[in-house]
Amino acid sequence: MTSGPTLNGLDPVIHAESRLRITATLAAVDRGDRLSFPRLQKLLDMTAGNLSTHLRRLEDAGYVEVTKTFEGRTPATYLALTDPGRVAFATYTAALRALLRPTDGGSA
Amino acid sequence: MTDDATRGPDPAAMLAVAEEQQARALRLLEPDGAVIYGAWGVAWLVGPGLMWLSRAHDVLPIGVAGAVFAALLLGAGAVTAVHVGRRTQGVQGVSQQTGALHGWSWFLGFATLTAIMAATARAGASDDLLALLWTALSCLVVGVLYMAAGALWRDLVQYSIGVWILVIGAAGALAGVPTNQLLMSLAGGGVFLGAAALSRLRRRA
Repeated sequence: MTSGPTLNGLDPVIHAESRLRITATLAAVDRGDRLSFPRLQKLLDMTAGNLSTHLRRLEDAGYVEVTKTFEGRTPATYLALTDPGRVAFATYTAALRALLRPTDGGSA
Repeated sequence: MTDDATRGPDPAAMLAVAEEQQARALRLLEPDGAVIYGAWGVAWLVGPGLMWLSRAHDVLPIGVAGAVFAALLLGAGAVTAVHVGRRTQGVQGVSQQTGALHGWSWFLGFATLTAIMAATARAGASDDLLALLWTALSCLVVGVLYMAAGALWRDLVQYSIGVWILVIGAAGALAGVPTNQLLMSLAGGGVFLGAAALSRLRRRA
């Protein structure tokens, strides 16, 4: 995982709308499954260039695993959330919920 | 849709983004029960219904009823395969293997059933006995497979359908021909169409 400044304790890698949407989508896929690049792009409605840029950032952070393979003679790219990526997403959404909890004396 | 991590978007908005996107992904990736249960519900309601009308009331030739039933079953199988294929397009990994193994258990179950029926016919079983066995054994295979899938995927709807189909198989066998076909049509077709309606309601909720 990358170090760096955190915003209210929120992971800066995920705390950006595009990367949050990518992470949320990959978290919706069962553990042990991968999504093809074009399918992921369709589920997100993002341009290929934009998606690639954000995927690289997520891959650098160790959150996304990129698998390059061939289907016949055409190269294909598959994406999956890594275990640290899943943990980071769960931690991030839990942190958001904690921030949104009404702060009336810190009830249990 | 470019944004920067240093801007620090609003937590409530971000939580909504995450939840909406996950819901959208699941809606587009998961097969729709309304489509699959609906296709099998129509096949079970109409096919055995026509068989019963033919045997009990002589409304149409049994051969025609049987052909329509077979076509409806093939149609439901095709609808299921195409729908699941579209929803899981671009998904690779464990669930793909699980799905393929599950599909094979259906195929081999019914292949074995067909072999048993052919052997029973060759051994000299009457038309009535064959009609009784087709319904009862089909319910046995379908019921057991639904219960197994429901247990493994923790899907109570599938599990309950399995139990119900086994009840129909047992009750139909005891009731005899042609009541077994009426039972399969109304109780069997009914439960699948009910499950289809339930899936639709859940998706809207």
